[in-house]
Amino acid sequence: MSGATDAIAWNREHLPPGPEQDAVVKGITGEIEEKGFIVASLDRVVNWARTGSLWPMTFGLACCAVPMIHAYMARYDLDRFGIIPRGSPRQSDVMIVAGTLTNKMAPALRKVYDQMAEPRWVISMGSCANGGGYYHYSYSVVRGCDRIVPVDVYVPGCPPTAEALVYGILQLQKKIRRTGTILRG
Amino acid sequence: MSFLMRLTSALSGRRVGTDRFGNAYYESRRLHPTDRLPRRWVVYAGEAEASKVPPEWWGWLHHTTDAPLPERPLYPWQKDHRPNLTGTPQAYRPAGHDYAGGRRRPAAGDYEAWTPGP
Repeated sequence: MSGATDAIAWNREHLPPGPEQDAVVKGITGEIEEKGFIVASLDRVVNWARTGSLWPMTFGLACCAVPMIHAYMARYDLDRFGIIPRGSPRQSDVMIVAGTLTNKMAPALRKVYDQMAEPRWVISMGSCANGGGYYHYSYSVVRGCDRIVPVDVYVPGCPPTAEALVYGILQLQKKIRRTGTILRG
Repeated sequence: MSFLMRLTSALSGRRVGTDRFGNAYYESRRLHPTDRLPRRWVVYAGEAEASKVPPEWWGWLHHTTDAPLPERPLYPWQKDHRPNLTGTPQAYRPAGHDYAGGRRRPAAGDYEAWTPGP
């Protein structure tokens, strides 16, 4: 291959590796290195892609699932935000915990959360998921799903309106834009 | 707000007014085919954020009132409307919050916290 390099005109006057070559490379990349704008722009592109296609895990546990379904359907139409409900945790980015989390359901919720791929987010919807709500003093209810999984956005209400859930999803998009990183996890 | 939003607002809507924050409110000229009501919408000043709408105009926007309520405080204890400040440095932190020092008032002393361990 040593003979082939001579045949290429633009490679004939190359600098050997050493301090001179380093100086030339530094001169080209130095300007970019100081500013770091490439990383920042890529960040925004990644966040744009992530916020534009949030695929929620359908986790309707109780009556809060009804406003969640309203939000998916024609009137509020979450599809216009690129939000498509998925049936599998492996394909979803965000889990909407809609309804009372009972002790019996808690291991399943955690298992589904663990099966979701990073990056993943959780929206806690309604009083019961936020802190037990009406069933706070029940012997069989988890007092808030944040005891089982880390929650990003709490949507208050009993049940919250579909409008409130849409607002909560928009808040999650803002949070992703604010805190999102390229690194997973 | 986007150029298209301004264009459609100007073509199909009637500008009803602006609130004290600069948000502009529009009402459609035609009635909604099934609701028999004009559509009402808001063009936000700056970033689109639903909680920017003050309560006087919120009622009008949702057809609760025919006209917006007067934008002056009716009672001396009323505070001015603020949008949702979550995620900004002005977000509310209760006393004892970890981000606000994390120093809590001691509890009444009528219980002992359980420490997990052997």
